[in-house]
This record gives sequence, C-alpha cells and structure tokens, in this order.
Amino acid sequence: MGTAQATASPVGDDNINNWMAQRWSDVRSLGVQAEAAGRNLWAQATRAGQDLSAPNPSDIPAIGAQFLKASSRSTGALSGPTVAPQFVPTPDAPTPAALMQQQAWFRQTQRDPLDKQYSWMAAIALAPTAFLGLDLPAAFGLGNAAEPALGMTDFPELEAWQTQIERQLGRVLTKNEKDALREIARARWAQANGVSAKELGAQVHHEDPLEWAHLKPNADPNRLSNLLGLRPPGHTVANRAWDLFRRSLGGAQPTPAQVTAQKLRVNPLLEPYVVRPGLPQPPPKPPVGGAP
Amino acid sequence: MTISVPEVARILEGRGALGRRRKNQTAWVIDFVTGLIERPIPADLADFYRENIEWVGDFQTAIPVWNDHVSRVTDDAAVDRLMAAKAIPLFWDGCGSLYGVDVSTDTDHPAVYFFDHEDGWEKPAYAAGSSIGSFLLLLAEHDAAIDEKRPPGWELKIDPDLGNCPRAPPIWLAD
Repeated sequence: MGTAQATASPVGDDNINNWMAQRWSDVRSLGVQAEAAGRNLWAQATRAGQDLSAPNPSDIPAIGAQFLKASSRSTGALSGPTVAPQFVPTPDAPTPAALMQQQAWFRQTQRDPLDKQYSWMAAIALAPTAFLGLDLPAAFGLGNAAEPALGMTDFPELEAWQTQIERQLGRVLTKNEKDALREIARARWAQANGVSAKELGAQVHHEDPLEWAHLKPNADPNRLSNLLGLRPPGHTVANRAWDLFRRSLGGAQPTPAQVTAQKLRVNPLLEPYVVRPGLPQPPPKPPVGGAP
Repeated sequence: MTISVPEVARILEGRGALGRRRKNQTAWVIDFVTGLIERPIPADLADFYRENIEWVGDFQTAIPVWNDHVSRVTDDAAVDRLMAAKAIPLFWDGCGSLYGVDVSTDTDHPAVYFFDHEDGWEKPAYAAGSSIGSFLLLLAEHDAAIDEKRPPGWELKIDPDLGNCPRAPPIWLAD
C-alpha cells in the first residue's frame, strides 16, 4: 500500500520528505496572505448576503488559500505578496494587527485610569466625612496619627466592659450581662445621635434580641446597626412579634438564620415607630378606647 | 427599716438625679390604677404618684397621662402590661423592659421587680428593690454602678433587704 502511494506521488518515493517540507513552507508563506484573503472574502460575502460557509475559525484561511490558488491558475502567476488581493480592514473583519493595536490602547487606559486623573475631585467630595467626625485636621489632610480624634462612634470608656462580655458570648447571657449591655446600648445610641433616646421619648431596641445574642458570638450585640430608637408602642409591636416567634419554637433554640429571618420580618413593622434625631415624628395615632 | 418615697425623692432631686412632671394628675392616676387592680393601691405607690416624678437618671416613669383637651388617655404608659404578673409598672428601663411594683399581696411597702420584655412579662426576672423608696435609690445609682464596674451585691449597701424579696432573687442570684 505504501508502494502504491509512492507511485501516485508527483515527486516520487525518494523525495517524499522533501515534498512535505516544501508543502509546509508554502503553507507558512501563504498563511498570512491566505487569512487576509479569506477575511476579505468573508466580509464581502456578508455585505452581499452570499452564502459562504466557515463554521470554524480555521476555515477562513482555507477559503483564502483556495482563492489564491484559483487566482494563480487563472493568471499563471505564482502565489506571492504581489498577487495577494489588497485587504481593507472593516469592523466586520478586524486584522490581528488592528486587534493588537486595540489591546495596546486598552492597556494604556488601564495605566492611566480616569479615577487617578480626577482623584482631586474625590478629596473635595470626601472632606465632609472628616468634618462629621469633628476631625478638622483630617479634613485638610493634616491628621495626627499620634492623637486620634474621638468620633461619634468611638466609645473607649465602654470598650473594656463590652470586651469582657463579648469574651463570654457563645452561651446565653446572664441577667447581669444583659442589664449592663442595655445600659451600654443607651449610652452608645445617645453618643451616636447626639441626644438620648429618653429625651426623644424613645427606647433603644435591639434588632437582634439579647436573648439570642449567643447565637452570633462574633457580632457585637451593641453594634450601632443593631440599635434602633423606637417609640414605646413600637417596642410593644416588636415584643409581640418576638413573643410569637419564641412560642413557635416550642422551647427549642432557633438557628442564627431563623433569628435573622424573623428580624427581617419584624423590622418593616417597626418603621412607623422609629425615632431618628432631626426627623419629625409622625402624628400620633387615634387612641384605642375612651376616657377611663 | 423602709425609707419613704417623699424623702428619697427630695434627696434625689437635690442631687439633680430626679425630674418632675410639669402637670400634676396625681388624683386621676391614683383613681385610674385603683380601678385597674380593683382595690386600694399600696401606700408607697400612692406616695410615688403624688411625687409626680418624670424621670430618675436615664429612666422614664411609666405613668398614664390624661389629656383634658381631648378628654381621653393619650399615653397609657403600658400601665396594664404587667397585670398578668400582678404588678404595676413604675419605670421603663430605656430598652423596652419595665420595673414594676408588686401588687400580688396586700402590703403598704411592696417590693419592686424587673420584668424583662424578652421573658414575655409573665414573671419577675429579678428583685430591684425591697420597697419603692429603696428602689429609687438603687435606680439612681444603676448606670454609675455599671460604669464603675462595682462588684455583684453592691446593692446591699443601699438596700440590705433586697435579698428577702418574696417573688424573685436579686440580679446577681437570678441566673
């Protein structure tokens, strides 16, 4: 069978290796031209609505090679740079060179991003946040690391006791600990809001109840996001909702996910009763019942 | 020995630890609560209402308000919240729980207990004062005691009878 193939070969048995080497050389030399010609043909076919099949990317160079071969036969010229059809890049057929140029432009954009160019605008925009913490030097970029300013959310006098309690979290809080946490909660809320809840006729509500604080041992029960100023009727609503939740458990411990889900159910009910300094309170609701 | 409510109120007011309400509705409040428990209120509780206290330290009183202009109760102050536990609220703790005076027994100097809203108000969590007078003194010291990290039982120096309250133990023995 090998003999039959050798007989059919145009260059003979002895020169098969030379023929293969020549063939690969032709493919390499024609590759770039074939791809360019193929892309050009593909773009023309697309514009003209002709049916040109190229399901794989490698089909484009093959089509171009066939076109070059046919052209060389009709003109009698050898394939080469002088006979390749001129390629005009279009959006439909970007050349590798055009793609590389585009990538280089993207890299340049990454090296010189807009946020760096306009960072001076961010400094102006963020300056008021430094004022909020009453840290005037920081607002002008003159912060003193040796003497950190005491902001609205810094509570150094309460941290020690808080830390002592947090170390013991992971088990149910004792009444003494809950009592202390509630005192700290009132102080924190007052410090963060600049006015005590009492002065606003409100109470401080723990969104995640202290009763189940041990289920989230890494969370500070008195984190500001867990404290809500509520008018007393709002606390009544919260108490009823949590009481129902507690009864539904039948004495079992809830999972942290259950507590969070219940919190998300309760919070919208409390919104009408939330007290926030600087915001007007909603008008009181009509009473239930009449005179005593 | 029981310290009287008027005397304690005078002491605390002198310290600046007690504020009084602008409007005095003592007679109406006493009638209202008497109707609620269907018998005369304890003498200490009547004295407490007569002192017309609005706050002690950071704690707000839980006293109902009658509004003459609209002829109705505009703030019931959760006065019936502890009826199931046979108690009448005196103060909010600032986080939704209540200090209430015991009305389960017929005495003029009942004890005061803390009712935790997370426990459902059904029973006292711990004893907060062997009488209303002693309780007011302890309440005025409450936040300072926590900030100063006083050891458990510091309350006994002010209220030696705190451990003898019949319905619940003091806070350091409550768990």
